[in-house]
Amino acid sequence: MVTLKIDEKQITTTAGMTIIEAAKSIGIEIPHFCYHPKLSLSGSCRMCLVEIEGMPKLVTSCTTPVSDNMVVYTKSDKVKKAQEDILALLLINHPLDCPICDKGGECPLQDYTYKYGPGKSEFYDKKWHFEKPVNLSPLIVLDRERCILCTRCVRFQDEVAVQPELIVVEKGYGAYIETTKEEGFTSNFSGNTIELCPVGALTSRQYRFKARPWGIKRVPSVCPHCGCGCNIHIDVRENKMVRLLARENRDVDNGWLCDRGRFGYLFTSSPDRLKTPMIRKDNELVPCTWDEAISKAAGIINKYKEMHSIDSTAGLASPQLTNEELYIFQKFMREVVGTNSIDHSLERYLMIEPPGKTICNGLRRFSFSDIDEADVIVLIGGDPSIDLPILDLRIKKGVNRGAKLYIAGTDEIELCRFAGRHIKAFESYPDLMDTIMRETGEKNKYLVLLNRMMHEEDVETICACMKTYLSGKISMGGWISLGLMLPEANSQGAQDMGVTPFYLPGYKDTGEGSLKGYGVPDKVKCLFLADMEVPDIAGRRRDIDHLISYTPFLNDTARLADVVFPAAVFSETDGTYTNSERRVQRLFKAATPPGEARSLWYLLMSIANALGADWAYGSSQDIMTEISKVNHLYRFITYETIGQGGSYADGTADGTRYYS
Amino acid sequence: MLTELLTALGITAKHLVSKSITVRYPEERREIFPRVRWRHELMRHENGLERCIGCSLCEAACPAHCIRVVAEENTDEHRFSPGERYAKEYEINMIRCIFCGMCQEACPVEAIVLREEFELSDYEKESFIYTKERLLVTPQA
Repeated sequence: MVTLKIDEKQITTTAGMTIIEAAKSIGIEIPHFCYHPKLSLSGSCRMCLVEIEGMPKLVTSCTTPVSDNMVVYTKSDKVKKAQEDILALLLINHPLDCPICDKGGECPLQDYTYKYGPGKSEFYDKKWHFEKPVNLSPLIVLDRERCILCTRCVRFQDEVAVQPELIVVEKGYGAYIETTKEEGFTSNFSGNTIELCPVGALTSRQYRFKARPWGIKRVPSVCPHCGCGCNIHIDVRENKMVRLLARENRDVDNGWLCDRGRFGYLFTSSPDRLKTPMIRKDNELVPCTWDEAISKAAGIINKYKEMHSIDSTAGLASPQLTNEELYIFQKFMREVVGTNSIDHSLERYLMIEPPGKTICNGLRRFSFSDIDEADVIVLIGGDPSIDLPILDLRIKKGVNRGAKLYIAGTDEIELCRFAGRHIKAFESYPDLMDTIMRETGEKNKYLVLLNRMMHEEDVETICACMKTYLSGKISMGGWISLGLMLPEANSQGAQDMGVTPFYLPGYKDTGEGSLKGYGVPDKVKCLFLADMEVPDIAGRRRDIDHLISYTPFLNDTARLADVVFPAAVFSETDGTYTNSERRVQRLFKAATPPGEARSLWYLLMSIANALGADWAYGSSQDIMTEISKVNHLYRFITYETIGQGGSYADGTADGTRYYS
Repeated sequence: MLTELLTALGITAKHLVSKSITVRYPEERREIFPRVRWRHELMRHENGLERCIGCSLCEAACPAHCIRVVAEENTDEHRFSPGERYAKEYEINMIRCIFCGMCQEACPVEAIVLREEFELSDYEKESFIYTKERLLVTPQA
């Protein structure tokens, strides 16, 4: 620990911290451009210069570590003059683009010039000119005139994404940013450079000119595109999403977003969104009122309860729905409709949570931060770069730190260039684990990531092998962490909420006499689809008497339905998602759904009450209160305690994180 | 007491015969000074291109929040203003407007200006939302 003085304030902090970080910890802002806490140090912009007593020249506070009895001045006359001069030099060639630049209003260059800059320009010459704007990719626009060559984008691509696609070409006065690949800026994480860029040089093509930062409403939420559950800010203008920004969660996304998450929101304001319910009349779908649609759907369900066996009705719900909606879905189908044939996937999937099975007992539950600590990471099948892109970044960081990566059972994937070993095919799981154990015998922190096409028997084998090999090590502070890579935003939540024919919420057994099989049952007569598309439904439509669809768009499946309800999307509903590490995170409603679209739980409550139930849920919070009573894994989850970082749903109050 | 009474009556008599300063509108009108702030107009450049670049600084400066700007990109085929950006939609709610001129001060390109026309009465409330078509001046031939 060292003690030093910054601006007459005494501060004691760990050795090795830089002055800029120490100042930030006591609330002193030092302006900077090239420095970023998650990237390597550059020290090139010279904006963070401070005066240290006893040193002849000003030093960059981003690269200078603190030392005992150091006396630092961040607001002395010398420092102020330096700040003015640096800004004046940066502004020499910076174009007068503020009125037309998207960064205006949230631009560090603007803000620092206002706070620390010279009041008057003394520049009368010609500024530099580049051809602009340059489309680096369909998503990213580069304006070379605005670039101040802080190299944050270059360093991000080199170090964090490990896809070096941006470089500075030429030297000195004529330097500018260029892509290394002819195809352009194709990295899956290119969008992060937009947030990193301190000026308006790198901007989003989708967001271009859509809004100004002061006219935007910002709502926290969770990305709906994959099982990582990256935290986002949804920026809304006039009830339409204009962009998504990263909301830093150290445990999940570490402040980054992949391009699919960042740019995949235009569908929410598409003009094709369904606004009214529709009913089939004379073999054509026509718009109708909410009440008409509800009573038609209730009539269909009633008819089936009386006429056919309960297994002729089935329901499929999308794993992109929130936990609350999925819970109400399974409650509706089981209690009101009276069937157990519900699912969230058209194909078979693996579940590793059910108690009473000893397969994972004693193993540690997977958290994304395990990737940061593991000695050995084993990926079995699956491709994180496509399914869970933020894990791709974390694994690259882990390998950089010294973890050994094994990739097994899959062809060449992006992460193979970081792998210690790529085992394309293996005889059996015991063989595979044998090989790995032999090669890494001296390590004691293992992370195994399973893909969801695996069979439970294989998981049992793997777990048995690991436990045998490491039984001695576990006691010495080691652990085996086991995780399931689920690609959809709320597949884990769907499994937990019992949207599966095999289990009730909390993995209680559904009992005998219920039809159990994945996907759409063969003999179904009445099918309820909640935001699911069934590709081969057209061929089976003649055998299915009635189809009720809840969907935001009139897609091919919905066109064959008898009743269509307009759906709200993820940004239009309060709720929670459970990501692949079992973290429950809150979504907040950012916009109102178009027309008469409603959340699924509201719709099902209306139908249930039309059929004689008396459900009285006022909000998603009421539903979560019920879930926490019914599902033991969620018994400590409340909206208040989830907060903005999420809570683990593993049945413990403190997240002890072990399977039982 | 009599003197005070006569003085007061004298003042009344003086006003009785002197000319009133009332401007008898609409037959008479007041003189228009050069910097009056009344109806807005979106100006053009000499070459006919619109001055407005859709920057929304007027929207930000307006204390009554009565300006709405939606910006769009210029292309070479469809060019409305010099440079990259123009205002696709530009609306001012004249009922909310307080005619302070902050928008005029904020505008970096002297696009939005307040001119002399003040006779803006109308019948419907909706017709007071002036769109870009109503605000943009016609190009000089």
